Amino acid sequence: MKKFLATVLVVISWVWLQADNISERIRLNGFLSQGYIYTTDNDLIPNSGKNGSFEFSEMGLTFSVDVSERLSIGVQFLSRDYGSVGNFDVKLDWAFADYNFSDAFGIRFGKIKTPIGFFNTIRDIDSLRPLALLPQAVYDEHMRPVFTAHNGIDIYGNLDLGEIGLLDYVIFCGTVNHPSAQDAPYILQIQQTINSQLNPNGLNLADIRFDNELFYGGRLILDLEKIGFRIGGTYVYHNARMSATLQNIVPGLGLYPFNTLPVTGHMELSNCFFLSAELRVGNLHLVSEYMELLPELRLALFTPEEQVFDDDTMQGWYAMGSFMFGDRLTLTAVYERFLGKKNDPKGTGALEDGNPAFFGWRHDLTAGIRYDISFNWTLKLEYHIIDGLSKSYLFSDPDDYQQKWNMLIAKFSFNF
Amino acid sequence: MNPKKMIWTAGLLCLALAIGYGSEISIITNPANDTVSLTQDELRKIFTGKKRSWQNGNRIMIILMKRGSLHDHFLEEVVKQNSTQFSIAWKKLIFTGKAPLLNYAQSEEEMVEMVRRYPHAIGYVGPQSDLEGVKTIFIRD
Repeated sequence: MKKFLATVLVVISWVWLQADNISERIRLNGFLSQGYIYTTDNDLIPNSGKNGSFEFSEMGLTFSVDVSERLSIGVQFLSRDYGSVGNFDVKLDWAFADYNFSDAFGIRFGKIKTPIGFFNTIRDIDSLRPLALLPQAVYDEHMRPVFTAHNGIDIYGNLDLGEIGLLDYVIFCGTVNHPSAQDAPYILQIQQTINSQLNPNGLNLADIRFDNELFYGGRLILDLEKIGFRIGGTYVYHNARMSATLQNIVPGLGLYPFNTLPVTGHMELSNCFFLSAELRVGNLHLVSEYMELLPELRLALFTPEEQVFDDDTMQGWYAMGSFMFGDRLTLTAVYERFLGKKNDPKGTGALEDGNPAFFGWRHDLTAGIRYDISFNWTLKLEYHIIDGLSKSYLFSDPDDYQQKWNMLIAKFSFNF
Repeated sequence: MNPKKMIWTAGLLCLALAIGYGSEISIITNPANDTVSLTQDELRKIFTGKKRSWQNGNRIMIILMKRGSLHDHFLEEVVKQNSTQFSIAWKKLIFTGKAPLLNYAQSEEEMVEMVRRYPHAIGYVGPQSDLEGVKTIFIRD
């Protein structure tokens, strides 16, 4: 993967050097945001339930240049902090070359933000989102490393349908970088899911790592721009090879570290789709999105054949309404629902796994204010009323899980 | 100033703006460009980055006023967005690497000069501008 990215950067540098009058065509942009999260109970990120946490920020720097009429190249570096994830390490967010043959057909090559739904490509840039925290039922922060960007090729275009509007399409194919467990809460969750079945048998799985195999999908959006209405769908497929270490649990002694066994498996994301609809009428903005995701976890423990450990379909949706007063103040309300198991709204499966039933769902009603101080500065304040702890329990104290909890977020951001 | 006077003054200012720019915003291109007319929809697609090529396949070069009342009025009349919405829409493209290079003019004179200089350019000016050396685009319904 590093070789691939190095190749992309070398190609981009070479093309950059070939361009004439380069200084006139270079664009430099950037963004910076700092937030504060306070939860009344539970911890969305470490310590958010005690005194609140300031570990909620992003900063990025973007360079882009139109090398010719058809060819453009660009790079964005991103540094973020989201609780225990990120810790301000500087990462290559995207870097690609884009050759646009016509409005209807173009190709991108490199590390590209994955176009999922309406917001995935801009999920790290606070000033472009209506709220500081995107609806987690669809844009889950824990799964971010899988969905945020891919290394590969995009074929895209915009078909002009005349009076009707536009049909925007993109087909993507490549691989994704899976980070270490420290930067990927979904790995910790997978570990917990598998261990809930292994631990009663005296076994424990540790050190899960993923190597990517395949990532592809596509998005189609019909833009009836005359009436301000967009409707679209996204499909994603991903298959990752998993490697881990199996440990023994000795009764009365706990983990027995001297008798370990390497194991392999797969995580396959199939039946993963997103449906999106949006209406803009004047200063009113209504959006709703729906998501289903089937992550199938398979492990070859003591046999060559892989055994299925988890294959439950997750389901999430939200409905959001915003109204902009003048050109500065925007009020937003969102209702979102997430089910860890689509057909289990009462959390029976969570109970069977030895967790509270409310681990099976998460409902969130949010009201937020956004104030654009200027074109560059934005201030946000939002309050979440939450029921359920699905996907939000990792950093909470197990002795103090609460079904109903509230969250306050304040965030300011700057961009240029 | 008493409230009645304030309301009248604001009303007169709005009227002045409407007379000044209402139907008199001119969309201008280079005379070498063979496009003679565009619909409101096509203009909106161009200035929101959704339509990037002229009919003959050449890439459209967008020139915007940095800010000011002409720019705001143009956005309201043609793009149907306020300046904040317009700024956010373009930044979505910029921060994902999908925006064409935008060019800015500091004044209407500079806007005319830039359109005169670049064959694939499109811009807009108010009623007082000297349009020598550029072509005014007819806007169809």
